[in-house]
Amino acid sequence: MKEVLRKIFQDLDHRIDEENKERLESGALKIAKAEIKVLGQTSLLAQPELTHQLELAQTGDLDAQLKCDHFVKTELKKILPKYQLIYDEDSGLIFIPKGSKFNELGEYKNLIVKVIDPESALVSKAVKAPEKNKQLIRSALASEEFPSLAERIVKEGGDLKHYE
Amino acid sequence: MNKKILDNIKKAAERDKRKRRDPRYLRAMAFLTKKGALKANRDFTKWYRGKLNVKDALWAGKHLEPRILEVLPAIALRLPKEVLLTDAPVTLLKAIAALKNTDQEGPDFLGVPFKKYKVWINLALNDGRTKPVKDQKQMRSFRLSPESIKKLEKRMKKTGLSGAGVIEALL
Repeated sequence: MKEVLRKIFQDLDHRIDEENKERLESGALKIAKAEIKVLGQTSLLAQPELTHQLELAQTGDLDAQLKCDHFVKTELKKILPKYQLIYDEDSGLIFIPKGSKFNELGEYKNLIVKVIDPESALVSKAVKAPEKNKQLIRSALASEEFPSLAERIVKEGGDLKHYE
Repeated sequence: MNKKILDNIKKAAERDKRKRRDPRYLRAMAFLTKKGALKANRDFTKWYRGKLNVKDALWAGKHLEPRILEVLPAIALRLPKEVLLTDAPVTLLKAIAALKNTDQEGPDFLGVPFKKYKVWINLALNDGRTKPVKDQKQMRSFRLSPESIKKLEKRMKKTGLSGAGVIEALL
């Protein structure tokens, strides 16, 4: 997944470059540097060094918060199907727990891509979609690889009993 | 932190681990990852059997991986020869029917809202030949005058396109 994301964002960076060239020629303003925060299941698969102990499956949706020009979002949505992914328009509604950290996935000329740390992604899932992520959260808690996971789930209003 | 709850969670995780060795889960995941409906960080290739029995998928979706349920109706619709619907529950058949009719509204499927499982009818699959539903051609019939038909046939001959191809090119 990490490699797939790299290809996607390289492609996106290239398209922004092309657009900027055209804008420059026509005297229009350049597109400001975009910031993309990858969330959800994709964020877990994109950090195998931190999540290798979890068995992960993912549908083709990419959850990401975008701070960017409309052009960038439109181009991203055009690129994704080539990689069997679809942008989830509900990404903006994803819960980001307190204390979340964002690891840098790549910095390009026209965009910077970050990915939420696995523990925070798991907290978010445990609190907002406990049924869909029951087995995943269970195995993450049992693995003891995420030392503050249980505590953070409770702090954010989740119920550990759901995973018994 | 309540130690008893965490101990129970660990026991439940152990049970899940054993379930992940169940052939129903392995076969369902093998099929769906091979087709590109799901991505995973485990290689299921050796469990691929060429067809998906919905009973396997339903068991695996209910007991281990709910994302299987999310893609199942769309995959059953798009790969009808490879997904075996024998004894499929009415809820699944209804979900498939709603997708087939490209309805705006449809029933939930085992807790998955229609909007969530409908998305996957447009996902590109690995075989590269199963077209996303949004790209599939639709049948339409038109009544044309003999003169228009002559012109159409002449253009078809000249361009090597089909009748639909000529009309699409003009559009």
